Amino acid sequence: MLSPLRWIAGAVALPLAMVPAIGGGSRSPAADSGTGQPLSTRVVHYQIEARLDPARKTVDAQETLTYHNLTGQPLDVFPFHLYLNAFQPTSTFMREVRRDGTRGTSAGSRWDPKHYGVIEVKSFQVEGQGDLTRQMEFIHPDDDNTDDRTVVQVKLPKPIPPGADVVFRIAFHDQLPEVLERTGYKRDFFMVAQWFPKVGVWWHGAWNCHQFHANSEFFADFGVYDVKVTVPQTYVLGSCGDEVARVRNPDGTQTVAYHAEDIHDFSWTADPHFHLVEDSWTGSGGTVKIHLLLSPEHERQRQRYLQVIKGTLDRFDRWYGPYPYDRITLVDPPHGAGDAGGMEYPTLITCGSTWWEPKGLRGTELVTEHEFGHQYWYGMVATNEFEEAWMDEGINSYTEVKVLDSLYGSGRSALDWWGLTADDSGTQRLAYLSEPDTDPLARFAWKYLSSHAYGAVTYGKTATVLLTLEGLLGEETMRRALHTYFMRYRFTHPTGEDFLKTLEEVSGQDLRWYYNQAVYGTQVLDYEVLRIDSDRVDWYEKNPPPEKKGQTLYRDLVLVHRKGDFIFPVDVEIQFDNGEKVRERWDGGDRWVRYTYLKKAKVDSAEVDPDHRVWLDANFFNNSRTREPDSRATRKLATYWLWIIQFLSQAAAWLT
Amino acid sequence: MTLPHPGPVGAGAGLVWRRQRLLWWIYAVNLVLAGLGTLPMAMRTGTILNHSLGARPLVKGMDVTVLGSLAMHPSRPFLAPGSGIAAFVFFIFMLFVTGGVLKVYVLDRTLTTEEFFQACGGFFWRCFRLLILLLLMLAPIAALASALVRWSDKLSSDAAAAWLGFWVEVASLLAIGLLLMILRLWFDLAELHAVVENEPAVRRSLAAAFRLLGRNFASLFWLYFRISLAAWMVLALALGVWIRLVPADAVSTSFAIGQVVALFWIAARLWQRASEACWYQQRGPVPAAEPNTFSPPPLRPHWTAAPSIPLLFRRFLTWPPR
Repeated sequence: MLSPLRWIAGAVALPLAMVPAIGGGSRSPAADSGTGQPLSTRVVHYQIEARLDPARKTVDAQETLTYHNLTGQPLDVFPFHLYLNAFQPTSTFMREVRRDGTRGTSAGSRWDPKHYGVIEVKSFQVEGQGDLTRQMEFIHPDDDNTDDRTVVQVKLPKPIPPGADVVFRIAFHDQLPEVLERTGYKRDFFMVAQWFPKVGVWWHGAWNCHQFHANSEFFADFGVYDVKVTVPQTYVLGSCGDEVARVRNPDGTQTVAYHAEDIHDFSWTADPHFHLVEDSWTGSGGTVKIHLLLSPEHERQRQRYLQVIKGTLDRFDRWYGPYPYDRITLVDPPHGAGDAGGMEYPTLITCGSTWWEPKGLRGTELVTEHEFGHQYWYGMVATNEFEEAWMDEGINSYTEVKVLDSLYGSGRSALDWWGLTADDSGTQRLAYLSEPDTDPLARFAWKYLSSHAYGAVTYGKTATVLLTLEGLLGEETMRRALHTYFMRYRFTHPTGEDFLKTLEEVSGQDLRWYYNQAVYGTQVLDYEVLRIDSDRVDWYEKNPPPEKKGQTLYRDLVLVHRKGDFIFPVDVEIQFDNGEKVRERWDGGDRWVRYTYLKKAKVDSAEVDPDHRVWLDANFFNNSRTREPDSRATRKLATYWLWIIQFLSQAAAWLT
Repeated sequence: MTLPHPGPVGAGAGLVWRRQRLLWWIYAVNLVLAGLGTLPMAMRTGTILNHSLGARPLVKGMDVTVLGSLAMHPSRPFLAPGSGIAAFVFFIFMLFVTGGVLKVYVLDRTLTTEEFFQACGGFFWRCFRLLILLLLMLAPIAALASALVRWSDKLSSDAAAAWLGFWVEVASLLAIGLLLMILRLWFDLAELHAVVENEPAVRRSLAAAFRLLGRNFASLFWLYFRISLAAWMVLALALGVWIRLVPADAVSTSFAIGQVVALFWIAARLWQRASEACWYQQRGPVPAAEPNTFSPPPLRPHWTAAPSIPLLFRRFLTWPPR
């Protein structure tokens, strides 16, 4: 899947600004190709042969997992994720859904038997150690739910020494749910994800294998996947990795073999109705084949998909680093299967659209861009989505803003329809405003106040935090920092601190004061211009001369107040009625600051953050104050409001 | 030369035109109440925006995120009390004046203030009881609508054809709209019956109206539907003009367009009432005389040629009745 030639091309095309800041920790693709080293540390090698029964909605499979013990210590205990077992009424996942809801499911929802899913391990053998099926034991490391079966643990009779391999042979049976939480079937569409027993990650000296939670995603080791999928011949297939063989079986089925390297998850999809749209894009890493599996009813959105994926590939390639794989597969789920959409897997993303979506509503573009962004922030920079969801969703939401702004224009990157506009940065900020102070960014995914808080903080607040940081450091520095972070940590499992330290390193600034508030704290940032005033210096005179512009001397006053607890340095711009502008810099340390001027001019206005860089400010409206009122916006809103009330009144009066 | 008699819709239009003071007064009440309802929101919004440079994105365009952050402002300007109260007061007002309005249209003459409000008061409880019955009738329609929406949602999700659910939803909405129009038409006729026949028992009015509607469904529904369609078309046209041609900062033009639509919608509702009255008098039971309350209706058919506009204008100036 990843040819050395493409690897070299990627290395050559790396921007010259691969910058000193990248430093010795970064891995140069040229060096990799020169040594013939794989892109990642390949801990696992999965070989799976799976057969789909479309009528029963089941998958039966044989998995052979070769695990390389690179932990530096003997291992005799191995935990495995059995994610599909989350779709059972007694699971921790469902408890949390029932309590708080999650994507596509509201809190308090009733149990729907169609949502039942299971991954049943039929046999579990360890090469050289026999059949250990009976030794399997469900564990629940995150809570006290003994009924949760999303993590199973096996203790081996003989430990695996450091540097040695262990081979697991697992036979399993999946019952897929009707599409729910990214996975399942709808009619004859199948999105088969989180479908096989997946070993946990030895990380920071211990196994990291969390239960499946309503608000958590995934974490796994890099490796190689060789997967053979058998489905009816009428089905169109798509998967992570590259197709390497296809055999038509006499029983009317086909077996398609896939191979993928340096990825950490594998999913596949099948639907007899998919239209396969093939295209390509060439960047610094070579040519990338684009496979769009389009549901027929979304045919009119074909160009939108292709335009946004190519634009996104281009921006990521230029800004953050080369896309090293030779393929990206886009899955457009059919109607009714929306819960399978908007999800990322290595080299495969699921998108989302409707047959009616007009161009100005950029849902199709937004989801496609976002999920592709995860190829970088999750796929290659493989952070722990259980424990630091902000690292993938938040950084990705920030780059989503940057890419969409670049592709569709700032101010209208999220919506441009019938006179209504919205930019993506604004929508991220709105999400942040809905939960400004409930949770810090750095929190385990299932420990947020609610499902809404998880979404608002990990996506919206993180993007807003990074936009504000961009305002502080500059767009170019931020881009360089993300580039450095990507190049240094791709194909590894960095932590939040790795990211934050990279930002400090590239910017050359100590940003701990910011991180303590924005990442680890819940302080709210809100500055306001409390007062502006211009007082005649000769106020005390009994018969002062009439005021004359440019001649009367005033003692001008501007009072700025830090309403929130978040301390952030800001600019304050004061405009005088003679056209003069004065900029002040306030470190925000005190609760308020007073600026006074002796001028032959009155203060016209004062504005905190005149360049609109502090996106974290919870209230933009109080950031400025003008001497003269301007009621145009109020009149406009009042006019619309008036008409709405008239219309609603008349609608109500229709009953009489 | 005799003018050909216009149909009830044309006659209704003439009637609304001749008795346009009703239209202007109802419009004025609608506008004033909405204005009062808007005031708290405008005041809260003004406090936030009038001295803020942050309001600018709302002047030249309609940035939804700025609007959203305004909605999320701690003072919650869009939740200011008043709007709902204004709508409710207008609802009560319309309930109250229905009897008077119908009386004016049935008699086709200007009533004195006393006569008008006497009619309003005299028929208020009948209208109120009819409203209660209407609400009861709406309950099964609401249940049906809910079931249809659930069904179309299920089809949207489960049916093999992607569009099936959508078209079922469209068809359901049309069917529900049709049912609502028929229901309204029935109750319009019942109110008319109560006023024309001075029928105190609303059940008898409802039964009479039901028979009348059953026998003349096509013509009555076509009458009601045409005017409704005109109202919706004017709304669509106005929205189209407003979105495509009116600059985002042209508040006065927006206001004018909005008011034209508001006025036309009131006019359309009165047009339906007036047309129904014309139809009723032409085809329905003969109105009972009310010697003690009102002077008899004019001898001429009330949908004959309308008075000239200057005359109407003079009449308008003399309203409210002395």
